[in-house]
Amino acid sequence: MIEKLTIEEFSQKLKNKEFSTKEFLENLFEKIESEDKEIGAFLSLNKEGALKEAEKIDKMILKKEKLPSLAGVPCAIKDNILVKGLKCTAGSKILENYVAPFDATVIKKLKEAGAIIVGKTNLDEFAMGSSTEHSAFQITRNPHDLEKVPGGSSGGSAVAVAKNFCFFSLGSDTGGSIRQPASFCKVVGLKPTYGAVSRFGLIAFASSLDQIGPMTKNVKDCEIVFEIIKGKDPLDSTSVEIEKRFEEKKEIKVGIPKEYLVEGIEAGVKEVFEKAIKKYQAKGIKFEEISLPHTEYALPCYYILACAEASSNLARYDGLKYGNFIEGNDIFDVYSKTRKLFGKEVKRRIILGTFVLSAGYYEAFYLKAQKVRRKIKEDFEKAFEKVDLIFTPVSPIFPFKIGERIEDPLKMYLADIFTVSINLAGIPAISIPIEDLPTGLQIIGPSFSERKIFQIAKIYDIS
Amino acid sequence: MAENVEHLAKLAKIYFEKEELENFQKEFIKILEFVKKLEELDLKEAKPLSQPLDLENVEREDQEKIFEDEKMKEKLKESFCERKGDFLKVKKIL
Repeated sequence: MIEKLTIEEFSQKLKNKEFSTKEFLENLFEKIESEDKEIGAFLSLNKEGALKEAEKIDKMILKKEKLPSLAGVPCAIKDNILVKGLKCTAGSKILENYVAPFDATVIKKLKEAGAIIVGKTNLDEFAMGSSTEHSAFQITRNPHDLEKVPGGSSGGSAVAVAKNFCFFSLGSDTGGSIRQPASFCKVVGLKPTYGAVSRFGLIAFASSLDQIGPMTKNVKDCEIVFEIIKGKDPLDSTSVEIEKRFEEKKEIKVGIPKEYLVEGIEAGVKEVFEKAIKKYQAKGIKFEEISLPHTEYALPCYYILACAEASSNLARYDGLKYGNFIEGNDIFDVYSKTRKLFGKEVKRRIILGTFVLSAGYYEAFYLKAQKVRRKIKEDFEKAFEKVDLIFTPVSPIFPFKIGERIEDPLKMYLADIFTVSINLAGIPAISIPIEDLPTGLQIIGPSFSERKIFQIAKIYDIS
Repeated sequence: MAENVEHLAKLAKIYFEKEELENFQKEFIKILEFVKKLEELDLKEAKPLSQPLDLENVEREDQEKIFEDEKMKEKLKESFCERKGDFLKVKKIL
């Protein structure tokens, strides 16, 4: 049943009493319990809580009360976003038993809108990875090919949507962690403008790059969820209100960066991308070649900055305030033994981050990367003087085999080559599936142009 | 010295096994080579960018705030790794 419905259709049927919320949720949990065993999208389920919420919604329907916009809509939440009373592990041994004492702002907003949280989804530990294989607890499989990865780090959230375990999920995107798994799993995923969505209650990885965003079956649903979670939050000083309105232009000009379609792109990805462009051309969209000259520096720049911020953010896991801890002889012994619980990739990044911030290396690495970040942002600003939006593939590769890249960190990092610049520039981008293939079209816009992105993304979605 | 993972691990307060250190050291050299690509650029005129929106600092009055949610207070304390009554218990520092 859920397979064929959009959020709006579900709401309509619920109001028409074609089913009750509880019935719908019970069927859904039955489906999840039988199908998720071989897939591994969820780290934990919230069955009891969800059914209780469902009963509340059903009572409201019975009393003919006005329903909030997402009343009864089942959703899944990446396990690095805090939901009060539920475990929040961030895919890490260090937070294995941590229970969230409060709701993230996005969760508060979803609950107010009546959405029902069915469970918490798997991720690479602390959202560091591109395949969800770096979770300390389990791997997640790509539902379209069980031998392949679902992408990452929001792999569980992408799969939960692809498998119709929910109408939408929330992910977080620091360098592509929403868009790349969306692309690999044939769903829609939005990385909003930096500041558009509150990060309060998101377990921090790299604070100047992290953003929470929706993952959905179609663009319209994505827009609905984004409209609910966005907005300024006094608890996140980097959040801002979106004020700019974009007039619907008759003629949209789209730029194709020449730097994105060169070497290193897997056979087939370019052809699929060109197919998508042809479809847009047929709808009257004009294309022109543009240049983003600092593209090749984005990945090294990203790794320096993201790791620097991570090494600082993850200093809080000290075996004292919360999370797991390992007994030691003195306080330093407690620190270092507890922090041994971090997985390999997390340690790798903390070490690099510690290095680029250390005395004598700060200027050569960290400061230099911040300067390159400015150049990358300026590349986009210049491009947007000429074009309204930019199209690129989301990933240079198709989903790869489980285990194929896990031992080679640099090879794994390359999976993000088309997505990291967008986080460095702080601009929004969506991934939408191209035909029925596990490779997405990335539509990039200037800051706070989400509405324009949705408008153009819908063209492809409908046809 | 600073490119030595053992030293960095001490700074980051992470305990490593000996063989783990060897692997990390090898990988680290490769990752450093990769990020050194930025050296190709001339950045004398460039201004660093620390976050994308060039936001101003948001300041507020430094006021005392009473935690009214008693349950929440208890929940936060329940999260402590070690606890003695209402206190967070830590190892002797001095």
